[in-house]
Amino acid sequence: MADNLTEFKLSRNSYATFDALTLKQLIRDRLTEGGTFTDQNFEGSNLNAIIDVVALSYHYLLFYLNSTSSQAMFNETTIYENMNRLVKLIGYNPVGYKTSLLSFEATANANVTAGVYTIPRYSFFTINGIIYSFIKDITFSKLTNTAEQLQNLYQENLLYQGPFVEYPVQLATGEDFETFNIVVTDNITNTPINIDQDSINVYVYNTATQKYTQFTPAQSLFLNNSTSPIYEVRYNENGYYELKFGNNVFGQKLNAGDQVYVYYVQSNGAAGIVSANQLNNNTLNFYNTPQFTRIATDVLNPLLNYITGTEVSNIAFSNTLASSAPNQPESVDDIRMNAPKTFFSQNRLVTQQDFEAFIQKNFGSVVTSSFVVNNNTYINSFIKYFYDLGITRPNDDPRYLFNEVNFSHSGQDNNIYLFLTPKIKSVDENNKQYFLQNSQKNTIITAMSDLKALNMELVPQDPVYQAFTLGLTAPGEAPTQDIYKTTYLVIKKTNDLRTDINTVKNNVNTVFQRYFAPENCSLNQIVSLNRLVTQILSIEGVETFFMRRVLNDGTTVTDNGLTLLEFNPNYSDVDIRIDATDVQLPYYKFPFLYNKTILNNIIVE
Amino acid sequence: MPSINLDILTNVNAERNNTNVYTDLTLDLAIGSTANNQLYKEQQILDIQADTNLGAIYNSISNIITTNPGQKPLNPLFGIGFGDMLFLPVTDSRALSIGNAIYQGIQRYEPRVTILNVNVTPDSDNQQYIITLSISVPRFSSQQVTVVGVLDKAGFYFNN
Repeated sequence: MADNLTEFKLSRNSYATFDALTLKQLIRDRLTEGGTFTDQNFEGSNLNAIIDVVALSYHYLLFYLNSTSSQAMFNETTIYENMNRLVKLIGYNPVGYKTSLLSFEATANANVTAGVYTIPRYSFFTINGIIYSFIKDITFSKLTNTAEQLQNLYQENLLYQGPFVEYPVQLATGEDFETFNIVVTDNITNTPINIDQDSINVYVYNTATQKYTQFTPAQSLFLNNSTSPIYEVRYNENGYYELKFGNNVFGQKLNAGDQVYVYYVQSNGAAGIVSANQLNNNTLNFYNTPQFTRIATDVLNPLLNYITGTEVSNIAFSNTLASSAPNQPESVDDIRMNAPKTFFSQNRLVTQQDFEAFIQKNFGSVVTSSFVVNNNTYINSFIKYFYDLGITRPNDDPRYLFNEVNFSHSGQDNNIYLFLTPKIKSVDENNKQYFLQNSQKNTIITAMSDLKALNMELVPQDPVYQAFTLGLTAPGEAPTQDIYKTTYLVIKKTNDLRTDINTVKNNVNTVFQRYFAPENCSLNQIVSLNRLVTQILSIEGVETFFMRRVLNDGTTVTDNGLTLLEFNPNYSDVDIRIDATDVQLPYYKFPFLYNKTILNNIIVE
Repeated sequence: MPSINLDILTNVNAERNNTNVYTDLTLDLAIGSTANNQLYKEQQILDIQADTNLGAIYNSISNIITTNPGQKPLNPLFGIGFGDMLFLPVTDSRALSIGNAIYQGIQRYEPRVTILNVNVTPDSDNQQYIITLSISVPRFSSQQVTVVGVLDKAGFYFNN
C-alpha cells in the first residue's frame, strides 16, 4: 500500500478539476493510505480542520486560475479590457464611438456664380442648439449661374453631430513610436466622453521648420515609408483613443519639442439626433479659433477657392431624413465576431465576407444588412429578375437606373455590387420605401477604396423590398395584391382564456411586427413560416388557428396552416405569390410587413 | 496515463508504534519525536508532533464545543451553537441548555465515545461554566474517562 504513495495517479489536467470537497476526500484517502494519521476521518479533529482550510484554499485558487485562464481566451473572455488587449496581438483596432450622421440637400441660388468652391473643414450648423459639422474640406462645383442643386456637395458628404474640440497641446519627447492618449472624461461620471473615431484630426508643429503639418491616420505604421506624416489611432482598453507616431523607418518620427494639436468631434450622444427638415434654412458657420487660424495658414490648400460668408449665405441647406443614431464602441461580443473576419481579410477587401465584415464593422450605424456579389452573380440573378418580371431593359426600373447613373462604370466585368439596406428607415407604415442616400453610399465606397483590389469597381445597389402579409387564394385563383384585405388569421382561443381578446390579437400582431422588424431581417433571409406558427401557438390563450378568406360572392375558403402573401409592391402584378412554407429570399430582397400591421385581419373566436 | 513520482510521500513510518489507535495533529504545530529505528541515528527524521488516542479524542471534543455552525467551511453544520448564552449572565437554566447542546453535539460528531454524563456547573463569580464530561471509549475496552473543562466567552479549556 505504501508504494502507491509514490504514484500520483492523476491525469495531467485533473489538477484543474478539483473542487474543495473532492480534494478534501483525496487528502483524507491519501492520509488514510499512509497510515500515520487516523483522525482525518473525524470531523472534530485538528487534522480535519486543517484539511478543510487547505482544500478550500486550493478550491479558491483553482477558481481564480480557471477564471483568469478563461479571461485570457479569445473565445471566453467577457471583460472589455482583456478582449481589447487580446485582439491587439492580431493587429485589430476595435471600433470606437460613432456619432450621428446627417445627410442633407443643398441648393445655391443665382447669386452664387458658376465655379468650384470649398467649404473649409469644421464648418458647422447649429440646429436648435445641436451642432453638426463637416469633418474635412468639402469641394463642390456649381455649373451654372442660375439656381442649382449642388448634387456633388450633398451626394458625397455627410454632417457629423458634435462640435470640433481642441485637445490641449501635447509636447513630443522625440522617442520612437511616440504615443499620446486622448483622455477626455466627463467631470461628473468620470467616464470617457464620446469622441467620434472618424473625426480625429492631428496637426504637428515642427519646431525646426516652424511649420504645421497635418498627419493622417493609417491602418498600420508598418505599411508606410519613413517620411509619411501618419499615425495609428487605436481605441484602447480604457475607452480612450491612442495616437501612435512613427520612428523614421515606418512613418515620420516626432522631434523633441514638436507640438501635437488634436481636433475631434465631441458627440452629444442620442440627444444629438435631429429629425427631418430641422436643418432647413440653417446657416453654415465657419470654425474659427486663434489656434486653428494659425494652423490653417499652413495646412489649408492655397489653391482652393474657399467659400466666403456671403456666398455661403446664398446656399439653402435642408434635410429630408432624420440623422442616424450614434453607434456605441464595439462590445466584447462585437469584437469577438468582427476581429477574426478582419484578421482573415488582412485589411484587404477581396472576398464577399471581407466586404460584408467591413461594412458591418464600420458602417453598422448606417447599414442594417448588406450582401456583396460580383458581376456574374449580379447578371445571373438580379438582372435576370428584371427580365423575368418582363422588364427587357433593367434601366426602366428607377432604382436600378439611379444607381447605375450615379455609380456604375463603362466596363462592368470588374464591378462589385454592394446591396445595402439602410438602418435609419427602410419601409414606413405607408409602405414608402427608403434607401441609402448617395452621400452615405459615397462615404462607404470611399472608405473601401484604399483596401479593395485595384481593378475592382464598387457599385452600391438598393435592395428590392419584398412585402409580406396575410393572404389566401381559392383553388385555381391567381393571387392579387388586394386579397390581403379579405384574408383573416382566425385564432381559436383556449377555454380558460383569462386575458382580453384584444390582448391576444395584439400579441399575435406583435409576433409579425417583431419578426419583420428591419433590425431582425436581412438580405438573403429565410422567411420562416414555421417559426411564425410556433410563436403564434406559444401565445397565452391561443389554442390553434387557421386562415380564412371571404370571397366576393360571400363564400369562404380556409386553410389550416399559415399562408402569407408575398409580393414586390413595385411589380405586384408579376412578382406575387402565396407562401405556405419557409421562403428563401434572394440576396437582393429585403422583407417587410406590408402596412406594418395585420391587426385588422386577426379574428379571435 | 502519465504519472508523477513523488518520493517525498514514501512512508517513512512503516515501523511506527502500533499502540496509537487514533492520531491527530497537535496544535500549534511543532516538531515532535522520531519514528524510526534508533540504531540508525544518521537516518533520523523528525516528525510533526501528534496527539494520540485519548489526546486525539479530547481535541475533537474541544473543537466540537468551540466551533460555531458555519465556521467549518466544508461542513457548515459542524459545531455547537451556544448563541449569545456565553455572553449573558451565568444561570442554572443556561447551564442546563449548554449541557444539552454539548451532549447532542458530541453524540453527533464524535462517534468514538459514548457519553455517560454531562454536568454543567454555573460559576457566576467568574462568569464561566464548569463542564464535567463522563465518557467511555468502546475502542479501548469501554474505558471510562472523566474530563473537566471550563467554558466561558473566551473558549473552552480542559483542566486536566
